[in-house]
Amino acid sequence: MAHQHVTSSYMEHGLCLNWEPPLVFLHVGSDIVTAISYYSIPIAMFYFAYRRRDLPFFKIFIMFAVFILSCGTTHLFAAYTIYRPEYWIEGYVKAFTAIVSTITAVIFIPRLPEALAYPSINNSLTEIKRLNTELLEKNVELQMANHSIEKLLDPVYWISIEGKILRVNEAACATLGYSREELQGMSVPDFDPHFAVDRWPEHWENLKAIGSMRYETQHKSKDGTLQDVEVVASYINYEGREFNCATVRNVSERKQLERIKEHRLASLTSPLEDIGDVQFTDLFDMEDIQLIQDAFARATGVASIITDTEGRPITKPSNFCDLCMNIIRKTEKGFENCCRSDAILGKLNPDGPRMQPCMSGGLWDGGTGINVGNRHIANWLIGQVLDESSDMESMKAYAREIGADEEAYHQALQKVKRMSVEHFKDVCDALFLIAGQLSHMALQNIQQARHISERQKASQEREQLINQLQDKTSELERFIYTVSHDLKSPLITISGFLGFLKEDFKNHDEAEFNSTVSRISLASERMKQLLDELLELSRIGRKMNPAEKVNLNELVHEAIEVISGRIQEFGAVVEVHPDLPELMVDRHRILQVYENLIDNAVKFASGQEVPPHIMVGVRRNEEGEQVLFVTDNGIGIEPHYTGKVFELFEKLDPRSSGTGVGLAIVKRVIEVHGGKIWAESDGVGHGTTINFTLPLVNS
Amino acid sequence: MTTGDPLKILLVEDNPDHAELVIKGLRTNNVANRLVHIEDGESALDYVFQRGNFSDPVTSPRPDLILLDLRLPRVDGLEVLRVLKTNEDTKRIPVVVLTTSDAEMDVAKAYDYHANSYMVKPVSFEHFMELMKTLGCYWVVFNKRAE
Repeated sequence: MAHQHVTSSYMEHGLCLNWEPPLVFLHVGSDIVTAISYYSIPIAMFYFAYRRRDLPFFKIFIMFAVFILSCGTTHLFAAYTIYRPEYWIEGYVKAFTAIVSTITAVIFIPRLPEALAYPSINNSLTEIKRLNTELLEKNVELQMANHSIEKLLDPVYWISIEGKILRVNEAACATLGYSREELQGMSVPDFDPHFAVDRWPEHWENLKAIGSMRYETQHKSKDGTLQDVEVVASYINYEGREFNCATVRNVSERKQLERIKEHRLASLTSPLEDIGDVQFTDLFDMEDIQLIQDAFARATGVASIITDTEGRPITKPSNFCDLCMNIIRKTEKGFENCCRSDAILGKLNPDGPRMQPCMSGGLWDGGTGINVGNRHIANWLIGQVLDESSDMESMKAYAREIGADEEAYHQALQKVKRMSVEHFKDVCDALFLIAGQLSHMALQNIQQARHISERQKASQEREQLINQLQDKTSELERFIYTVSHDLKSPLITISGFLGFLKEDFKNHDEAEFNSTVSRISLASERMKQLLDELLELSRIGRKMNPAEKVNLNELVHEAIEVISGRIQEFGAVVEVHPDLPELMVDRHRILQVYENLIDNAVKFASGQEVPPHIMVGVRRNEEGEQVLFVTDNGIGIEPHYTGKVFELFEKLDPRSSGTGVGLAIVKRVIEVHGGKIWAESDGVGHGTTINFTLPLVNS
Repeated sequence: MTTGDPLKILLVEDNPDHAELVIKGLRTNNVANRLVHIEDGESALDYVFQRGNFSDPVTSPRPDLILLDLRLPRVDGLEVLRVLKTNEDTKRIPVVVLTTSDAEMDVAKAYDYHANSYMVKPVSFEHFMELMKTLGCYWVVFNKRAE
């Protein structure tokens, strides 16, 4: 068909095709179909973009859609211009398409590398699958770990920085008696009485610093019971989140065992007389005993239990029959009768086991005592067997007596072990032998333990004695050394001057002769004095006169009488306090003491401008003790010598007469009386005071 | 100081009889000497160091020889020895220990403190005289002293 339009100078494209219907159809058809596709595709794309706003390269995608859209429009116009020559419009559409396509290319092509780098879906999928499997595995591990912790015997707690419980395992709930929900709201101080609420922050800091801590404390369960526990707490920081993970172990049993061991050791090593409260449980390992008891009961078929001397059970019952355990003993009356029966059975019988029908159910019972030394400490009881020849009727009647269910009683009675009395006697005899052996072994244990501790004590004492002996030996050595020296000295004088004596005689030097003779004589005198005093010193302590009541006032005046010659010679004045006490002492020795002290005082106070003034008296010291003293106004003693004056042969002034033994004798006498003696002086030229105490027995 | 000049001896001895024996012994054996007798350890030190009561060097000249007993009051002989032998000024003065003790311990200690000689007082007149003569001979005649 030929359509001629005069509106424009252009010609429709159909003319180029000679309006050949197949050709026109081909072109127009193709363009229209293409346009439809080129429209539907962008519409789909817009819809897709609308639905998936998170599309990567969103803008490019939209541009593509627009580009395709305008391409489609181009095709549409290509078909249109077959019929209508609207070439300007078509041209504009084409131009638009050109622009859009260029823009698309410009923004797409540079981003090609980025697009290429995008993970392919396949890779992502495999990655995801891989991660999934990993996750699954990790999950399995996690489940295993969780399960292990949950089923742990020891409680485990996860605690936050504030001290709140985050997570616990089953054991924690079981131990403390709270439910999981309850626990997960609580804080540590709620069940650990040793953790005051304000202590927690400090504890957290400590834990953080150290990393892990182990300590003992106590935990209080819901019902209020306290248990001894050991806690191991660790600080954990995972990706910035901080936790305290703690495991707890109950150590009550361990502590109990420790206490038992201590008690057992104490009782084993203390003398039998003061065993006091030593128990069967101290002397034997209860687990071992239970095993023996159970085995014996099993082998022989009897029931068995070990009780204390009052009949109270120490071990768990072995092989108790239903009748006794669940019926008779469950009734008040029955139980009472059983205990009474048991107590009698165990009474100490050295010749053999006791055997009798139980006062309660009438079954045969036997028993023997366990004793250590002569102390009866436990009873081992067996029995609950039925001899066929017993009176069944009265036994059945017992059910009524104690108020038990008769039917149940009869049934249980049927189940009781049958055993002839003769057989039972054999079993009792065997028991007697075994118990005897146990007793014997326990005694041996004690004896051995005591022997060991005695030996230790003896060895300690021996060491002490050896030390004392060594001290005494060195003292003796020193003594001998000093004595030999002090005896040698006068000998040197004597022999030396004897030699000179010959010279003096030859030289007819009478003055020298006499002087030498007197030196010799004095030296020999000194030797004699020394020997006498040493002898005296050795006697003190060996031969003591009996103590008698002595009036010290009288005694002192007597002493003054004895040395009155010296006192007068030096013009000394001796003053005596009137209130000297009366004491129980060795009269002779204390007289010597005063003679010595006053004599010394006079000697050392002489040779000064002032005449010697001596005071004998008594005073009270800070502790209220009576202190006797002798004071002089003599040459005094340098402070660091005040201890040395009493030592043997320590003469502060060598020219003085006297052997150096006097004060040593005085000291020994005082010490033998149980007193103390010491010297006081303000220094050279300030006089001396000798103080001493004597054990006071005032009459 | 030449040999033959009287020896200035310091005798430190607490027993007056023993001191007398030494003095007489030296005299009898013609050992010329100027002897000073001091009776306790502290005074002996004062004398040698010329202090206290002995600060006048004319009356308390430095001794050429010291005879030292070990058992002394106030300051013990061994202590005197130690002090003398550790002091720069006095350590060259010969010190002869003259004592009754022959105990191993005392001998050892004396030599530890650098005594020049150790002599035990004999319990026999003859031996004592012998000792004095030898002492005089040795220390006056033969021994060379430090200046």
